[in-house]
Amino acid sequence: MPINYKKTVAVLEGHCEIEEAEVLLEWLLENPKGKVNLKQCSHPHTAVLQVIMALSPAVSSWPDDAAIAAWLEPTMMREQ
Amino acid sequence: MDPMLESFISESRENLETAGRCFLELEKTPGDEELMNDLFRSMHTIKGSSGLFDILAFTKVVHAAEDVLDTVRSGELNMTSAHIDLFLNTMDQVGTWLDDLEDTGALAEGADDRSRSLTHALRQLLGEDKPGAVITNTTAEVTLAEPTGEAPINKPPSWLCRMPDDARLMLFKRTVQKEIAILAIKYTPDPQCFFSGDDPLHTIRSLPGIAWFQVQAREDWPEPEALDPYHCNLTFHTVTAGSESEIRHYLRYVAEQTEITPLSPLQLAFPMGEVGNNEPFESFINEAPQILTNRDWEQLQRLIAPLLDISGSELFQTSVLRWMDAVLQQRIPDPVLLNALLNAAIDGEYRWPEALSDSTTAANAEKSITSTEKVAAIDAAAPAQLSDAQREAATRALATQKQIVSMPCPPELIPGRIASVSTVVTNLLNAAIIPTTGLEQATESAQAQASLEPLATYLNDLTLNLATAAEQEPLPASEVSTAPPAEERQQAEHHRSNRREENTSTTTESPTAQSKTLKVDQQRIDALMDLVGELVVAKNALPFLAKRAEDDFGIRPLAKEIKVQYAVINRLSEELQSAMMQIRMVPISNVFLRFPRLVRDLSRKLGKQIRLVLEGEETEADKNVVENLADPLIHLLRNSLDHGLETAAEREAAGKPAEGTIILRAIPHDDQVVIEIIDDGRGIDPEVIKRKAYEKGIIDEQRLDNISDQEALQLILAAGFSTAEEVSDLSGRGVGMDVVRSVVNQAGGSVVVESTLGQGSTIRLTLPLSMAVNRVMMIEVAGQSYGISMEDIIETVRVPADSVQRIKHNEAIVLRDRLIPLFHLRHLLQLELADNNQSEEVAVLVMELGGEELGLVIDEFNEGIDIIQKPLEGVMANYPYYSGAALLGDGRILLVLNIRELLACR
Repeated sequence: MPINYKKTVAVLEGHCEIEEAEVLLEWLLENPKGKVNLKQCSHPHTAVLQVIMALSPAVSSWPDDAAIAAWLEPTMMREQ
Repeated sequence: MDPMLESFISESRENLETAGRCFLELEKTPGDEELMNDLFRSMHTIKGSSGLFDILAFTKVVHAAEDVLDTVRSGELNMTSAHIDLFLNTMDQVGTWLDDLEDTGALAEGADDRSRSLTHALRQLLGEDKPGAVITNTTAEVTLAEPTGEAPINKPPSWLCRMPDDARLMLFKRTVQKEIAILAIKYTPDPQCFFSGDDPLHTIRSLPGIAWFQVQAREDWPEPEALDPYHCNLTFHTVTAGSESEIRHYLRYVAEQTEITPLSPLQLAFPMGEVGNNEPFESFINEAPQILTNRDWEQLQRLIAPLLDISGSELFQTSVLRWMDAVLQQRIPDPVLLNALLNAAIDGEYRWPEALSDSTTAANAEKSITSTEKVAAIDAAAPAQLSDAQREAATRALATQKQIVSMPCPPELIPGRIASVSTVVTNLLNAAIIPTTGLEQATESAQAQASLEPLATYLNDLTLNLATAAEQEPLPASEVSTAPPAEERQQAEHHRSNRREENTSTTTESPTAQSKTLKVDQQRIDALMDLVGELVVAKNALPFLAKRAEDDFGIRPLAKEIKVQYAVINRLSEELQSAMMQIRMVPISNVFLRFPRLVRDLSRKLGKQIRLVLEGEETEADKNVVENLADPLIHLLRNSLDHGLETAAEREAAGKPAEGTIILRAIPHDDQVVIEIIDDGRGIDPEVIKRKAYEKGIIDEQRLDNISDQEALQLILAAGFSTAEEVSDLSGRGVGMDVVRSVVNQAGGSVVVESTLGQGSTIRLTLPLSMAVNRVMMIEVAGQSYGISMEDIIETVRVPADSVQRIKHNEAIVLRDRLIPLFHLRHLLQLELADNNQSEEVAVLVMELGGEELGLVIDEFNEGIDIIQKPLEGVMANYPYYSGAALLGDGRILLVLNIRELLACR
């Protein structure tokens, strides 16, 4: 499912595929203050995760899915 | 068969062939980069596609080969002949597996063992040896589930300290004293893994029984502008509980990228946290060692229980106590572990039990988990950045804690409440990286006074502080770093795109490899071929029609018209036919390229120095012809290598260069292709051949007297003839040469042997370029039409009947000073002999068979025609002197004679 780019937030939904990684990276480069919303994200592709980890944008909303939040949150917190 | 598997097999065979060729070339010209790249690419492709199928043994081997090639390519390893031997063996195995796959759809039994030994051998070239990942002690799960008493506990991988205390504790309780294997897995995906479609995160998340995992950057992240999102820079650490074989199965495709270490539950047991004041634990620390020595577990448990209630959960000491408690709940608590834990409580530092006896603790000190430093280091590495939502949540949580402390509380519950509030607040503060010192003091004084007052005061101050801090609104770290100037940014962008280009060029196939060939199932081509054949036959009916129009109906202009139309259709069908031929044409190199390998292997085996020269491999011939060539050529080459060429010493003694030469040459010759195998070896002695042939009863005494040397040489092609003094495993069983002859004859070709004693031999195969359409000459014998292949016919002559001479029982004619023996076709076909008196001339078809000329006496010559020759079926298949049959334009069947067989039946 594609990432929905709002004005200041990139909303990741469902299973984010590898193609999204580059787009997300460019968006984050253009919008250094951009946040990511992971609420509906069920699985980010490793490449997407990597972009998020490397650029450590603010996370506006953590995943609803507890299983993902459980590992994603500590991961992100550490990177930040 | 699965079409995907089918194309994988054919593609991999091609790649194997390429690889084989490259290896041999590389042996001659080491360090040729282009060859190396070709080689690597073909191996890479095989490996890549093999991953699509469940053939792990196969994939592992080619993967190992690819890895070795990679180090060769980067110049870290020099390829020697021994290496090439190993590689060639590997590729033979891979080829065999491909055959198995084609036949049965699966690898043969024992493939795993074979794979393991090959992978092992290959990996040894790399100086590493990891058959699969690390298969060290698979017995760990069994032995360690039951504590063995005094055995030291091996230190787990250092990254395990990042696994939070509670997660470890939970896993420990779940697995201890049960036979559940715990695996510590470190997965470092290949940086290029995204290009092969891997999603490492997904791989990790789908592992069964995953207890905890963590993602980490392998190297520091580059500037955002320089980040390549498709270069995997992550390492995954995970701990799972469950069957090791299942985990290995899940990770089988990335086995080389993973390190799997079996853990015992006891290895999970180590404390972490911030070392707090030891005061509350003093009595415990004083009493416990004695109790431990007495092994009075119940007493120890009683001692620990109250302490757990009152101490802050983040404290190192609490962690120690929790672990001791957990260990004590075992049926047989492990005293070594308990001792180590207790010592940790005393020293504020945990040492692995094995280290206790080790006096050189310097190295261990670094590895032992000094609570404060480690935690601080981890925290510093990850400066907390609270999002708005987090800050909000924290504020809410703090408010709740304030409420709790302000509520009235019965005195007996006060210690517990202090502990719980303290825990929550500590957690909150840790998350926000706010020093917890104030809180600790407050907690301590609260405990001392048995009142919630100090905590309430502290919390009030804290909320006030936080509120002011929020007003100042510190910028998030990511925003503080100002964006680099545009120029720099462009450079970074440029750099990044360059890097991406590099990546794509190395990982995707270079465009040159994608030749514009169309792969079509041969059956479709054959079907088309049949249709063309039908068309040719249908077309051939037109002249008959024209003849009827003229003769039967007397319409001459119509007959003429039909002939004109026939000419047009004829031209088109001929073009169609030749285009069709072109489609089926493949270069002889398809077969020739197998031989450098054969020659190399055999020459090493025989200890002879041999140079193989390939000439004219671009010559094209029909696919069937080329395929039929392979086996005869292998026989012939083996013969030349084994019998023809001498050893280096013998050659030098004979004044020849030590290195023998074999020339394999293909020459297109009219409608035929001539293939010569020329060696400069010892040659064949016709006298020896004659004697042997006589001894073996192949020729009789009379023949022995009058046979020419040239004819004698052809005898080596006869069945049951072998001159080798000893039977070697290469050749010399006396089956090779006659098999060659029969295969070549079946394909409509011929074999000729030439040799000069001491200088070498030449074996010449003549084959039709195409077997699909034959040009035959129609002849008539006793009122019946037959076809004779045009390739064998030299000329047609009519000679006066009285010029036929008789030599003993045989007839012959002299034609341009050559004596040509005559054979009567009527005689050969066992038909009534014609009344010779009636004609004054005899029609003689002069043919060349096996290098000899002969004349065939027939009744009448007819025109030559193109036919699609079909093999005879059913009862007719038993008559080898008919090579086939064809349908004529007027619906008649034309039998095509095989004169060779006919003469052999004589």
